Amino acid sequence: MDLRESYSQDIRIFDKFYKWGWIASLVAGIVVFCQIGGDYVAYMLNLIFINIIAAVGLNILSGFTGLISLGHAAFMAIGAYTSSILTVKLGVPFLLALPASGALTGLIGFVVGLPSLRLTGIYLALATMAFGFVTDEMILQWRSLTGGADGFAVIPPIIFGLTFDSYKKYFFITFISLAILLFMAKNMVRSSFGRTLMAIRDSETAAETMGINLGWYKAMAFTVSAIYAGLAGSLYAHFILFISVDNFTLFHSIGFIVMVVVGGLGSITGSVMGAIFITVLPEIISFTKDYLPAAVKTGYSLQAAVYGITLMLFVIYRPIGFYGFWVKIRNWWRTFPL
Amino acid sequence: MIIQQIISGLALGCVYGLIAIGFVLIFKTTAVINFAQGEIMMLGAFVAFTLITIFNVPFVLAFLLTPIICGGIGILLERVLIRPLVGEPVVSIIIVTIGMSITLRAFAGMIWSYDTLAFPLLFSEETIRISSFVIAPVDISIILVTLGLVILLFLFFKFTTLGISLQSLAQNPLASLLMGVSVKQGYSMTWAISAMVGAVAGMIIAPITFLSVNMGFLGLKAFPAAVIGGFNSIPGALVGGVIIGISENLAGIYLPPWVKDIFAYIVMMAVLMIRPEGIFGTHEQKKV
Repeated sequence: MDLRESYSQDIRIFDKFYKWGWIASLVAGIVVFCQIGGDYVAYMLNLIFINIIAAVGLNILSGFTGLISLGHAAFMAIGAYTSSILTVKLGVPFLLALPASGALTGLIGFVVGLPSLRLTGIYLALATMAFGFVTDEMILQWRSLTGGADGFAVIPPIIFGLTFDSYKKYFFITFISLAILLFMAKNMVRSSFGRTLMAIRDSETAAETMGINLGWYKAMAFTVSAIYAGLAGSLYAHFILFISVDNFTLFHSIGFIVMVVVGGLGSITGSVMGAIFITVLPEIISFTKDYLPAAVKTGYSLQAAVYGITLMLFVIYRPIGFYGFWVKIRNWWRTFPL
Repeated sequence: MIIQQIISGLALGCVYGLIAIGFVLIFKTTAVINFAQGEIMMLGAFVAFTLITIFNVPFVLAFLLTPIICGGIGILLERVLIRPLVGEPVVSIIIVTIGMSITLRAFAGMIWSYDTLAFPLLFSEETIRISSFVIAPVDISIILVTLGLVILLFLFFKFTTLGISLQSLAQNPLASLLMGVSVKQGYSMTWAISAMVGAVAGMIIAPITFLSVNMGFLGLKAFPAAVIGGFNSIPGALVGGVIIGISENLAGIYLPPWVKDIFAYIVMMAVLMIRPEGIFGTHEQKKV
């Protein structure tokens, strides 16, 4: 039955072959849903995919390695601006600019991750928060390159002569990127690299005793996480076509933390669910707005309140997040008659 | 010019220091950073504003009532949101305080709107001239109130039974439990005191910065203060705040204007690289 006899069985992505069929039909379903749905559906799907990429990246850092980052929006900003500057100012093709922005962000992530050997817990949170503020300010001040406070107009990507200028067309870029990055993340966490990160999370001392180079692996966790954020930033820039520092503030960094926590720390599937939930949440809120008293809906207060309360409730009552629900339902089905 | 900048930096630094003291109090007893400290400061300012302008409470009475109300809010927050998480990883409690800060800011926005309001002035806006430089009375009041509060806190922790039991709680919760100190009550009291200090900080800074829901972001500048002073030292927090306040103002003069806003964070990053435990902090040895 479900007994695993060899290592290759243990690390398989899906224990049953037929589950690949489910994935294939899910992919087909999403593609059809996007193409027959309106522009709004395509817009939301793009946004969800980009957020999933960033959330999965943050989960590799926070969920699997146990390091907190309050500067993830800054990584995204670096990716977004790198890609925009490369394509708009230097005329580099999008297919090159996308990995380049990931690479540069990864390099910066490595440097930011270096001190994480000495700084733990709160100090790391504060250091990454400071990194976020400094990055935002540098983008604001480096006017000749980034446009400063005026923002930066980005061109839609052109691949092999095809211009991806509508949400429905752009969908294919984000969807393929998401599929590749999710597959890579899944591979990372089921390989020795992922197990190393989890060992560091569970006990640094024990991990070091087993011969794990803590400094290197923590920096690598930051690098991988930053690459994901940078790619998400690049995809976001070419999707929204106009970026400014306001898109990448501390509030956005916290938003990614909410996605990861609500989805479930240490689970790729969880991050996917968390990102979907948090991205769709503002839309649900805006539907309910008509039925609420005027005082409640001023500014961003309602959305922010729902964000904050969701975050607190999940941490207190469901620390394992949506993934916990998912596992429960799945097990219930498996053992159904019992 | 420089001396004026130093004095206004000193006043601003005192406020940073007070918020940082709020961080330190909670950190010492529970090893948690309260990201909502800036929002509690904002609440303090708004509660005082409401008492004075809407309920026509006299200034002095409002000044005394506000910390009590905010202390109550502090106890409530601890009881409802932090107590269920005792024993959980510190990171999850930090995430809860982040959620707390978002929620408090949102509720404040619902109640008091997002407009910037003017806080009633206790002192005249006329400046005092001493020989060649001018001082604003508001700055002096901030410095005096801060000094008074710090002395009060010092006396409280040194001479009252409650203060001493809180200190013991910070050093060793299990031993103090065995000696008859109520750990639960102690945690509540810590949050109450920290919220009171935050409320005072809010009331004295409001005349300078004006009232707005987003004034809690000032609390983010208090993190560098606490880091520089050392996260487990109360006098360190004040010194760190003053260092940040003054160096920020001086950076405004000598460096390009935009450096001023992020100078505190640059200093903090430098301190974290060189001496993460801060100037007055003690390095905690981790036993395996």
